[in-house]
Amino acid sequence: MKRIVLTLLLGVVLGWGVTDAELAVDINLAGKQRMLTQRMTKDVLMVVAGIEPQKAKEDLKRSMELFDRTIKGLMEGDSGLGLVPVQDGKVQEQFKKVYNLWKPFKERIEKVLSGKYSKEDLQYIRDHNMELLKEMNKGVQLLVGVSKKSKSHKAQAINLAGKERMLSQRIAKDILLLHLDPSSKEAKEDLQKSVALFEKILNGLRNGDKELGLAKTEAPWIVEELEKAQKMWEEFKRDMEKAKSKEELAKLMETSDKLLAQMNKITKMYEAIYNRRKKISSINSIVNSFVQEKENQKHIINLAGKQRMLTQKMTKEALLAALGQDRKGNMEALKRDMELYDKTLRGFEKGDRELDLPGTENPAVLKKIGEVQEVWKPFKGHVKQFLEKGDIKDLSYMVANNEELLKRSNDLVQTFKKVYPTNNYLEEARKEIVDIAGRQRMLTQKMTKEKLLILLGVKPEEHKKKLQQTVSLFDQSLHDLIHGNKERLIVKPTNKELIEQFKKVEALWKRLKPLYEKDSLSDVEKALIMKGNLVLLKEMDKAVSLCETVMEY
Amino acid sequence: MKKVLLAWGIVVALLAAPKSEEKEIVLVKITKDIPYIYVKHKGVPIKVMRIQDTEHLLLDDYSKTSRPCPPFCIHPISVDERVKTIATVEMIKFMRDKLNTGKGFVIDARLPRWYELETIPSAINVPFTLLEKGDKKVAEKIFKLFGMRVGKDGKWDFSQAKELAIFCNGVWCDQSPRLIRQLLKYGYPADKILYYRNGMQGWKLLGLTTVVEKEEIKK
Repeated sequence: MKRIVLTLLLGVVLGWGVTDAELAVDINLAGKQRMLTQRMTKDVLMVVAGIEPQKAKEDLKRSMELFDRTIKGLMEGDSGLGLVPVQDGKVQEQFKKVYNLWKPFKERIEKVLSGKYSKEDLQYIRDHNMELLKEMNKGVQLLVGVSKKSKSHKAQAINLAGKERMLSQRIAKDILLLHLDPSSKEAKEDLQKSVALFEKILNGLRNGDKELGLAKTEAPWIVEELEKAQKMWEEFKRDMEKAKSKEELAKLMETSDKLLAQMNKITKMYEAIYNRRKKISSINSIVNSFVQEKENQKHIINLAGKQRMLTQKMTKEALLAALGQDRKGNMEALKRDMELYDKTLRGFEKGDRELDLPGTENPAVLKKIGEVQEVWKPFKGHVKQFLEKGDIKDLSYMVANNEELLKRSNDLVQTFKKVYPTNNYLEEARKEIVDIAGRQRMLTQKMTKEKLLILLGVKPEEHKKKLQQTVSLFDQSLHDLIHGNKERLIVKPTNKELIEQFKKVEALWKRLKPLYEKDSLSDVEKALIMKGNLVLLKEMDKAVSLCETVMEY
Repeated sequence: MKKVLLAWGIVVALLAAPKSEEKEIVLVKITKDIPYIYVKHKGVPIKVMRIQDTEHLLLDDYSKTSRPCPPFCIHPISVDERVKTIATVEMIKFMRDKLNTGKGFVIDARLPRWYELETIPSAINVPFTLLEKGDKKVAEKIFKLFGMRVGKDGKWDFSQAKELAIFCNGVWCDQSPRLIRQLLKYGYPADKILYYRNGMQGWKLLGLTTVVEKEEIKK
């Protein structure tokens, strides 16, 4: 399989993008207005010169209506054209200026269309088309500036590709002006300038041009269209040199329109890329925040699940310390676990950066946290006392109350699960699996604690019963996790890594289980349980992580 | 690791960049008339073509024949009678004619972890759960990015909305059908939705180019 590796960060957040996305349309259409000023003038000249006058009038009418609609749309918005007014004082002021120039210009165009025009009207169009173009261009530049503020660099390609449309018409207009008045220096100079600029921009779009702020175009489908434009331009230039008769000029005008259509197509392609990037960034941003929220939910449920295990682990550690089994190590572990339980519980409520917990304002969760606190506060007090004095009374309190703390910790897990509901089979099953696998961690600690209590002679019959239940629950759950259980919504895993991990847990469990079930233990066997339960916990923890993260369960 | 992948990404991208003067002989074409196409994936031009090694066999998890059903059951040809189902050639043509001209999007409906691991070039990730868990507001945000407009009366106007070609893992995957059903629920026009049922497995079985964002050992 040909696989291409891209390490690209998911969507740079560029802000909510309606304006950005719409801006490309504004730049394109405002840019198109520049072309229309020249096209209208060219069409007026064609009418005057008698070169396909009927077609020129039809084109002129269309261009006039489009210019009129677009300038109004740029000021007030036009959903049909996809125009949204840019809320920028300078931009709006500039468009108003264009509109004021446009009104008298339009009146003259209408006169040409009606056939009732004077020499003064023609002169007005000839004198003012460049002013209208210049002011329209300023508006485009201001829009590109707005775009640059939002860090959009592709806007320049839309602008300049759009400018080529105008130049194709401006060149055609100058050719007609020279046909009507071969001595016009102004037209000759303008033609030379426009030809040079057209070539510079086209080359810049194809190969890049620092001066113009253009990067080399890489999209193959645009490169292909730019090659076509280059060929059309070369053809146009050849014909331009020799066009003298009305027929030759008519053909040249037709070619200029084809060039215009080609550049228009290219401008739209740049606009599509610009919009696509903006849109993809925005979609990525929405997906990312959604994923982040989901990951947070899983993380919270996982930590809440671990709290259950800590209630049992703390009690076990206190018992081991009281028995003189690695007293120092167990007291240190107890202190660590107490602080972790406390920090996590506070983190659920207030948030905790280190634990990556956002905190909550959910009333149901807050209520449950309060209920855990009711048991945890005195429990914590006794743990602290025990850590300071090693008093058996404090240990007794922990032994008597750890299961209530476990119960309330478990209630909090279930509340989190309810607050973050899933509505699809896969996620629901995965959540159940993670919860059951997560509970196994707690069971390793609970059964060790119960074994210790039996060995210490603390209510041995009661704890024997409890131990039997705990062992049986661990046993059954491990079996279900390995082989699946439809009733419990546990899917049989097919993931090799996960299967291997469960096998590892199963092998450990097979060695430890008889020791938990045995009434009297040798010192070696006791030591095996004390070491083994921590290995079992660690391996079960790995399995839980895999249950959460493997791609395919 | 990230740096290595990034460097690799750049090298591959450069290799994939078109050379107009180059006349390439393609033994295994997509169709008789289409040797390959170019698309952009996150700004990088990608050449989409088939593996040229005619001895090549698929060995990764997409060669797997059986997964537990449910949930991985085989889906019927149609996800909804109003929505057109397409095969690989139509998907390629969609990418060439609609995506590259700004008229459409290729949507990977799978969860982000799948998408990051491997996807079809040019695809953007809209996980099916986004709309299943989201509300009308989320749908509006996404639809606007697909070209939907909100009228002055608040009505959703889909006249300029893009066409969407949607896929997931393959015929046994229900992630794209679920996204499609959500799109329809919120009013996205059925005639602007295409269901690429063969999905990743169908795509890979034909040796077509894929993109990888996060290199991991595949299970």
